[in-house]
Amino acid sequence: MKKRLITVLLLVSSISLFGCEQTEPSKPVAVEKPTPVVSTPLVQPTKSTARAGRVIYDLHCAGCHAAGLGHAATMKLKLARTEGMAVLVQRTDLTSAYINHVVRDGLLEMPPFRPTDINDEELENLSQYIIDSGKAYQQQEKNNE
Amino acid sequence: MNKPLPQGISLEQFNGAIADIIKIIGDEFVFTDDIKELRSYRDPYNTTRDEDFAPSAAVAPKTLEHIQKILAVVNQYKIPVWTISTGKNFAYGGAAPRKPGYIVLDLKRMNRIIEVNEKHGYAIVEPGVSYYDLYNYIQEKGYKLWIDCAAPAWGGIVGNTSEHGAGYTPYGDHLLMQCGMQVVLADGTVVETGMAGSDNSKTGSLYKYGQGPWVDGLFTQSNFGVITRMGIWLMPEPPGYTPFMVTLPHEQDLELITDLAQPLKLNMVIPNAATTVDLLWEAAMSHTKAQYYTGKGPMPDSARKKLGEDLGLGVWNFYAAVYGPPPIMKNNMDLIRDTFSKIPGAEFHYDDTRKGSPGWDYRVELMRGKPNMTEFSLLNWVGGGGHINFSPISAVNGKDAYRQFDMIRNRAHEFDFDYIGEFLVGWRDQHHIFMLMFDRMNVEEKKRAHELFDVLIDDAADHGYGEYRTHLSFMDKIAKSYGWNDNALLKAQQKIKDELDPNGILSPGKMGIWPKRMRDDA
Repeated sequence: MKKRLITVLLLVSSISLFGCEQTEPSKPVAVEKPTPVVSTPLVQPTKSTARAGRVIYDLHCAGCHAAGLGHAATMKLKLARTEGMAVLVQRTDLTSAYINHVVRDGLLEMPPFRPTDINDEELENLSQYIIDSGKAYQQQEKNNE
Repeated sequence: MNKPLPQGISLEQFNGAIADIIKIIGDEFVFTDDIKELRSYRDPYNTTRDEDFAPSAAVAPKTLEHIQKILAVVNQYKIPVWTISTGKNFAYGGAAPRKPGYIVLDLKRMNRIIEVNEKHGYAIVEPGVSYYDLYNYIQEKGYKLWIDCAAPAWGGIVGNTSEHGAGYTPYGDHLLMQCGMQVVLADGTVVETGMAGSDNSKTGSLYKYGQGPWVDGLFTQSNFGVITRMGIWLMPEPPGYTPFMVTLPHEQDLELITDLAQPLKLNMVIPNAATTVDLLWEAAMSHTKAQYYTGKGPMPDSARKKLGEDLGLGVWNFYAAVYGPPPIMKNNMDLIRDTFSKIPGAEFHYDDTRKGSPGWDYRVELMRGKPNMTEFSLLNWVGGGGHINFSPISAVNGKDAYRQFDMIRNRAHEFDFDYIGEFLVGWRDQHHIFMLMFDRMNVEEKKRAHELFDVLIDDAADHGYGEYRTHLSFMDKIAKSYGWNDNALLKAQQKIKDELDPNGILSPGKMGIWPKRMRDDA
């Protein structure tokens, strides 16, 4: 607790110091509480003894495929296809067979994933998670209209 | 396609070995189907033919005992195994072995985080632990520790460190921050290095050297043993962090920024692994080449100029950060600003104006050890994803940096490729990474990329520059370029190889080190 208090005090002093004393502020980025690299799920995880689809998605897919800037595959799909095709978990055209094929074989910029990264059962969970998320997203969009 | 088999091994012998390994780890973790299972163990981005590096099988042990038993089997059959951990190793060969037919020893399933010690700032991990895994674990536990990750961050601690990889925080030199390892030798002997070599050691992750020769380095970028556990030092979370970027308008500014950064780095005013990044690398984080130029060959100056103006980027862009209590950050930033402001046209950028730009955001994350995948956007630049990295070491010295850049850029343009590169500025050296991008579906382009790479090795050697790491295709050539005194270094490595691995089963050909029985054919 004492240690945390010191950290808080240092951060507070950081704000006052940079806010008042510096003629040319160097714009510090506060050390915010880091959050784990995971996304917010739209659907509940698949029940299985293998890792859930969402867990696999967060670990192996979201880095490149999540919505927003800074995600390589989202950027590429938006340019090569359309904005509506850019984010995997917002699409309704993907089938389990197609997802399985691309994950195991890779496609252009995307590399293949080893069975030790994602085993066959987890790959099924992943496909289902992507498909379910797409449906849930589209439904949500419809409700928002 | 014929089943790839290890050199001199019949299908019957191979099947015998696989049957023995299945008895050890079960058939669920033995992969032999070339189409359904083993395509993911090839290098999708190589510059030659897929079959040049096609494994015969991949096997995934879960425990130390599994590894010992598997090594006993392959010793008996004299079948080579190629050890990989987690992560991808793209640009350097991926998971693929040096020659067709090897069995890949995939350590991904050994993924335990053995210990994270907040007080002393270290972790002990198995080879299957990725940067994501360790980062998430630390956040869940609430430890005030940072990791230092490579970019892209699906890499692993053991794999990247043992390949001499680098990150971007003050702990960016990964092998420097490694402390203690557990290694299985080819004969199955398990060795703990350093202080952990004594029974009930309490300091295995605190002091690197123990007594006697420090041997950990021997097991990195080599084939002398299988690393099964590693200690890595972790940086305590600092009370403050100020990342910044300096944009530089001219090509020649590389020389100025390097010379000005050198004393700041050497004296630890800039404590982290800084980067001097070229325009196209930066632009690729949010754009593709075709958005600015659809012609053949490298992007012309007119398009580069427009690109730089549109994105607010320099021809070079220098990233670094200061850390610590605010007074220290203020002191150091004042000194840094005074120093770099001497460069005409240099502009400082901070989070308030750059936040939201992918190129800035991912560097801010990397310099505080938060894993992300943004750098993979480089693969979109020309499309088709092919890439191979030419990685010479340079002094932190303006003339050397510019000479290397000029040499590589001119050759790249001669072969109709863009120069896309960065200098990772360490204390006394720079890793110069030239990202040679090509369309992996275009056979002619792949061939041209291969030829360019080959010429670059010669060019660099002529100027006295050596590479720190390389792709499977060029390991022999680069090992030979370290040729002083009739390749005495490589010969010493081969002597160690023959002593520790007499049957030559562990990763033959890794970094040009071949076992005796395969040396003549190499």
